Amino acid sequence: MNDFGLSIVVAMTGWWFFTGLILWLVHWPRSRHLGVFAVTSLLSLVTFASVPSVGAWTGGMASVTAFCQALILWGWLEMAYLMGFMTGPEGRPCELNAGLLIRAKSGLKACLYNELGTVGIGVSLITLLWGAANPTAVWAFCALWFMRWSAKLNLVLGVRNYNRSWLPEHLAYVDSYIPRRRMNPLFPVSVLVGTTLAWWLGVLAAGAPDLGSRVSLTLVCTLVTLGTLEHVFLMLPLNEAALWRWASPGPNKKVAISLEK
Amino acid sequence: MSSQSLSSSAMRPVRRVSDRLMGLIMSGLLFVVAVVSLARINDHVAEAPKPLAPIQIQRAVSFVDEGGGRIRIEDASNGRSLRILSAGEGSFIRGAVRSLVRTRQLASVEVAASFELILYADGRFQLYDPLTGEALELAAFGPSNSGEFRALLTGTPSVQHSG
Repeated sequence: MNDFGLSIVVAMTGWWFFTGLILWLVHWPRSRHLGVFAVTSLLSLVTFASVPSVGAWTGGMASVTAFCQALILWGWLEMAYLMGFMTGPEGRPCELNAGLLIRAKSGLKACLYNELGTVGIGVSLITLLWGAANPTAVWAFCALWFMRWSAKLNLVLGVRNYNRSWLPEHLAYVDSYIPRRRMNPLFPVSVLVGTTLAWWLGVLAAGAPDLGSRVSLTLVCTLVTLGTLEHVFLMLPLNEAALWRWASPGPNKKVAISLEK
Repeated sequence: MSSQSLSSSAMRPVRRVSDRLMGLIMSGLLFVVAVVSLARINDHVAEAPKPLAPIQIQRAVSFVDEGGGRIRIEDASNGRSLRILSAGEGSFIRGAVRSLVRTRQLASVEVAASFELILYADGRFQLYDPLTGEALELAAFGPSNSGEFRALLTGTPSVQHSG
């Protein structure tokens, strides 16, 4: 039982920590971005080079290491996008009330190179780890990949809420691709597929005979669950501010807002 | 964060770590602690000591991959089919065999060789790999899982798939 619980904690804190680390680094002054990007690129290169050897290694430690590899490679792509080193051929806001096709096209143009990078790394991981004893890295990466593309499609179709404050200033135009809708046709499908996938991975994890596959299936299952939850949050009728509104009656709220500015 | 902490920090200009950085450090610490504790768990299930009780029943079985997810399980001594697993069927059997095959791959020995199903007089039940010496204690996975292997050991060869 211990290994399931610990795997869930590792996946949750790993996800939380890597997301937090990237957002924190992205909000550093832009003059330091190049240095950070150079160091993390070197780290990703080393990580990528060690993918085959970790893929041939089995056991609990091997699964956790491979999971971290996927998080590092994914985090590097995410950071390359948010810092503006690897985005797309053209990043421009589209006009208000633009149609779906125009929004999708502008959105793709704004992140095309990053998506190609994702496909490139994803396909090389699949090739490198095909039939490997420990395929955790490719599973985790593909889970993140699938959840991200699903989330992006949902965003361009329209969602109720998303974390606009996560976008750094130089990417603020991305907001113009994302209309506010109460629902979109893809959303129920995404949540259903995500839930089914998480359930299936959970069943596989519960029946896995050895520690390594138990840990890696639980890690990937947790990742898919978290991604599905994030989808749900896109449509929940509340935002971050609403989470704390109960704690601050009228006058105090004004104080808090004026201090934050 | 409550508005009280905001106003107090505004009144006293004390230098402190921001909440965002604090959260980052906390999650990083928790992550490292969880990774280290998980890494220290060992998979002792596969390394049970050799049973001292005499062997009651033993059968050499091979698992033949027929492609398309189909696996034919046969009695290695005479090549007769014991069971056919169609695609998606018998996940426990597949998982158990896969984990033993992995050890074979790492040891670079013949992957398709047969395994031994051994039932001891004291009730212990093992899937034993004579090539690597690794054994799975099947009883540890509960009666419904080990029952799948028990049927392979005691069951008569299936007639419809023989030959």
